[in-house]
Amino acid sequence: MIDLSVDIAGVKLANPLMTASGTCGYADEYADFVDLSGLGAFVTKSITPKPRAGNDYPRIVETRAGLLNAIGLANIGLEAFLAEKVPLLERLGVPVFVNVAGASIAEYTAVIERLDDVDVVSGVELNISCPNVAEGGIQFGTDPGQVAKITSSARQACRNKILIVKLSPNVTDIAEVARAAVDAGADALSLVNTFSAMVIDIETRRPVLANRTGGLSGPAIRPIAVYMVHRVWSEVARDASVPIIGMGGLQFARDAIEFLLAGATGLAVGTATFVNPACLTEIRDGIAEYLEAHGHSSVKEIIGTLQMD
Amino acid sequence: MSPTQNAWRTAELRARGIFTGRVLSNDSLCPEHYRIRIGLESFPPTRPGQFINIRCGGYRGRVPLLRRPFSLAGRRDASDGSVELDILYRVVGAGTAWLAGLETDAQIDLIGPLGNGFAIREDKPQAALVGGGTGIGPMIYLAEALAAAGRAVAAFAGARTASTMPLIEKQKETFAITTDDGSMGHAGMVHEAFSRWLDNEKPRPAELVVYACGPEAMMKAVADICTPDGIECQLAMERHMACGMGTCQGCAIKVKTDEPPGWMFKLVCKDGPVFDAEELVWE
Repeated sequence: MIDLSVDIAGVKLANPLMTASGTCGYADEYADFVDLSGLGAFVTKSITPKPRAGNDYPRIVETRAGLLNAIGLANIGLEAFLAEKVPLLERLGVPVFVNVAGASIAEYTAVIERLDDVDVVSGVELNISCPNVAEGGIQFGTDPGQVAKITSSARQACRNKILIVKLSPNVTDIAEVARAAVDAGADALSLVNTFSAMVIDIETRRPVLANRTGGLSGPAIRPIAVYMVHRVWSEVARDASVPIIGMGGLQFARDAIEFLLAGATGLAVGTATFVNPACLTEIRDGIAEYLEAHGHSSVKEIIGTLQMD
Repeated sequence: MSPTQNAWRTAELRARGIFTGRVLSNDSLCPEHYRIRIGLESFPPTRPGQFINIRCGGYRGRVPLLRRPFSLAGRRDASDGSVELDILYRVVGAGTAWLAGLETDAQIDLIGPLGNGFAIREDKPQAALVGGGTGIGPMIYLAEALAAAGRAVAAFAGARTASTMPLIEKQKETFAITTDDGSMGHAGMVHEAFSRWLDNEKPRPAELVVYACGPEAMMKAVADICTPDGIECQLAMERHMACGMGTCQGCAIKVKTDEPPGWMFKLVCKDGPVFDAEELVWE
């Protein structure tokens, strides 16, 4: 029996697999297609203080190996989340991490303070990396000083839950941003969010997306995400004992192994679940097969074991 | 407009999943359109207007990342529980080019049934169906379902030209056909043929329900004919979607609400694809 369990800053996960925020709704949408109780954890769509309608259509455009989205943090808002979705999440039977977004630090902390008393919530994931909204989101995530400031405020509001900071890859030096988050009190880091990108309609000569730009996800970004996870792990997270939740283009078990070797403890899948919701549990089972074939008894044995010489 | 407009979405339609089917036949209907029949050991209940998401392979080195949505164009259930689904499709890119190359017995990975589907109204004995281009597919399935339910059906199918009309011979008896250039059926637009039928037959608005699927301009024209007279009109809308299951939020469509600002987004995959014409905000 292979031990797939991992520990994210004190939260015990039966396995490293989780949903990537914003790609799996609030859990009820995928319940028909995949046994979500087989996940390590469930990560919700971003929650903001008030409901958000989101951006105009078109909101998505496919590329040859990826997907651009500019949904604009469409969500039902904090109160509806607490009233309607928390009871569903309580039935899942796996730890729940709630992704939080806002237009100001006060909006972030207002949501976190409410979630801090909700039993089913094990952790808060701070979205400081959404590239698709006019204010908030990525503006907090690209400057190390801003990252330190918002992480520190969130830390004070987040007393009973673990605090995960989700990093943007749209920076010159992701290790510097990671260090700012860790120094300000992050218990764990999620990386990477989507890459700012654009697709042009060559007939109209305009951007395809109504928002003009969007965030690129999918297999196209995986090698960059693996590189960034390894940099953050080797330069910041390993010494600080801060676990990394790796994500970006994960589709198959072999991709997951790359992230684990690069230093990720948790693994989040997003775009690939649009194609095959069951890939979450297929990847989990594929990791176990790999570990068994290579003589390991626990997934923890391979985390961060990338050989660089 | 109340959110219960789509109340025909019933509990039975929640049964859905990932299935593997195999190709029973895959025939060219005209130079642009194909009809594929997919056999499955079993499949949940479906209704016209619902769709499936097919995982398409690659064509000439281009492999689509996402699944491609296809409206059901027919369904037959065998006594052993096995199911045949029809899809009518046009080759527009790598995914549909791959589909067109599939031979009998090839496997197909599909998710479904997805979406809400058309509602058959107990209180409306007369139905009118308006399909344009690939949108004729769901109208074929709906015409069969309405006939089985004992409704009077007037069906209209439009295409640009005869060589792009995706109907097999026996279906041509069900539909009044129009082509833009007059090369098959009447010359003109399909909504004009529908409008003439309304003028000639004068069905009572309260006893008529109109269903349409096709290019958005065609559906808007049909809606504009129906709504001033209070004729119920159900439209199958189309939007690019990544998942089809209600999670990616890509397929947003504006619908009216009583609350400010007077509209909200719904999702074509989950709340639709069938919407009441009066509910939609046309852009």
